[in-house]
Amino acid sequence: MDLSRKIDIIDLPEDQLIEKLKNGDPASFEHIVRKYGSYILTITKRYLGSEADAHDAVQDTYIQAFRAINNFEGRSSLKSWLHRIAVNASLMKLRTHKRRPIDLIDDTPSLFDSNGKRIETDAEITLSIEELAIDNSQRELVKQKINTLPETAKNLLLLRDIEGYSTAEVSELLDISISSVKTGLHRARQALKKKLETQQC
Amino acid sequence: MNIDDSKNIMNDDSIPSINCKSFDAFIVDYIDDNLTDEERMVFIRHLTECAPCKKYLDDYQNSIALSQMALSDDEEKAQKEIPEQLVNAILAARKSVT
Repeated sequence: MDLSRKIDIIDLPEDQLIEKLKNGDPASFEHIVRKYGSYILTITKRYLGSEADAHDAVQDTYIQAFRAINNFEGRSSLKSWLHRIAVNASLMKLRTHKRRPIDLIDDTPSLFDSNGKRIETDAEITLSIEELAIDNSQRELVKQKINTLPETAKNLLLLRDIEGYSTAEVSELLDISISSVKTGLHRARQALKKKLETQQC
Repeated sequence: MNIDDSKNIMNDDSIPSINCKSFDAFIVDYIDDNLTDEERMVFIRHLTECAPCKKYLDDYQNSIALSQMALSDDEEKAQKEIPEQLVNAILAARKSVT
């Protein structure tokens, strides 16, 4: 792409950029690959872990976006639209790996006695938000804990607590019932809490 | 909810009392602000009466906040450029579908 043309595209307001994309302009397509590609890669890596799979999912994201751009109504930003396609592409990739589609945590040790009273423990989370804000190694530690959760539990946490999708949206994305989303999310959060508690620093 | 409200709820016999296990089933909807007014009163009543559940909920919410903080710098890191090899692969794939 020559430099002057590149600058023209960078300066375009989003609605005009979308028009060019709808008209099949290759330079505009390359522009959104370069502009949002690294961000999209971060999203796909969260779900897929493997670098190669994450790259494949980024490629799938852009090809799906290219095919669907004429249906894009501009109700969200281009970046949010691509984000959603990337989440879908990542989940689709997980499915094609023929991993268990639903592996909700169902073996959480009981937190209650026979009368339904909470069993007290000494476990504590010693990590703090303030520490995490300044200490990259602590953030990495929490990320590792999230990555050791069973796949669906991890996806529920990512979708609801990190990406901010609603329960209904997650139900649709994972193709599970609303009540399974709620139960699974609760167990996933409990499991993460327990993992963070055992990490006494 | 302020302390006076909590005291009022504790002294209000019309608000049903629940055990910890039932309280637990409300947590997701409580955090999503999806409880009805009545459910919320029941939930808060238990919370004000049960120290272990209060501690549990504090840790539970702290754990969510920690996970959000841990992943909060992802986007910042994404300011780096996308690998050129991946750009080329995407552009080639686009050509092949046109």
